[in-house]
Amino acid sequence: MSTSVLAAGDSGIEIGQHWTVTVGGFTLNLDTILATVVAGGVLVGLGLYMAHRASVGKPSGLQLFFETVKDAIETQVEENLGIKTAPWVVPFAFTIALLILFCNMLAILPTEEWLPPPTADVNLTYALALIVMFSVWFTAIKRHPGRFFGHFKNPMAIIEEITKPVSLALRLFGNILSGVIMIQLILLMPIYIFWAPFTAWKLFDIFIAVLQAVIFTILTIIYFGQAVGEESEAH
Amino acid sequence: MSASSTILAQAADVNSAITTAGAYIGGGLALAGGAIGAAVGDGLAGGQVIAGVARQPEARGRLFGIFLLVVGLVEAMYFINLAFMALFVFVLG
Repeated sequence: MSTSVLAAGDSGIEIGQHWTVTVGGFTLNLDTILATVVAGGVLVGLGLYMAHRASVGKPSGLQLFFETVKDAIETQVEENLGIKTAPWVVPFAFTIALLILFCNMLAILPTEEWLPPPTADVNLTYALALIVMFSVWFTAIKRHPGRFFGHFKNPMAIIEEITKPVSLALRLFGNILSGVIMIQLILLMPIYIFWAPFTAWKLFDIFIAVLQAVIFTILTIIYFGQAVGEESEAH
Repeated sequence: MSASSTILAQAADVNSAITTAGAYIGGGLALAGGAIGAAVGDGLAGGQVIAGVARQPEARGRLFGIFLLVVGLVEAMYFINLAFMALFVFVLG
């Protein structure tokens, strides 16, 4: 179908091709699953290592990193919904932030052939967005069921509720996929000049990886704030 | 017999050429709209940050943080367009 497209056919740029396995009628993208397990394993391993050697007097760099992220998330949760209202939002947002960050950072390593960043697969980003949205809806229904279902009298609210997970997923997917496509395009250049745009693009990709993880987390916390009900409601 | 099969083969060729051309034009339009929108959005955000810092230089840190957040959201629209361009050109065309 795309044999007449020079870049796609002849130069081996493939979008959306995954190493798949079919299990009972479902097709699983094994490279995404493997990369997610690797990123998650690294995160859990670092967390356990840091917790094992945590100290109050002389914190290591790793512990300072985890503490900085925790403080930033606690500040955001306090601003949007108040920590006492739903204290479990802090570890939830913390996990999502660091998992997305580590998954995005897999794009920096030179192993794009075998271990692509799993967030460049739309399945993972939709799964993350759906987890967030189901948690938000569940919280809203549990705490204020009348107000939640009353929202849907307004037709714009239905569109908004559909747009939230779709935009969360596609924003993350598009950003990381563009990094992958750009690397494949840069590699088409001859070897003696491609190192300059390659380095520049990888640095920009690091910035995008961090920024997208931050945006996903902040939007998650904002959606929880909307579900739980902010101070401006009848207080 | 062979004349009709040649004609069918040529018709299939023309069809696939039209599909490819349509895919390229669609991809180009998606990128154009995305680039214009993202540039205008980033420019507006940057302009407001400059105005805010001019009024109150000590708010620079907070304003820069909010600026980065807005830039991330604006660029997201562009990257979503980019993903659809890749879909049109490489997969559907």
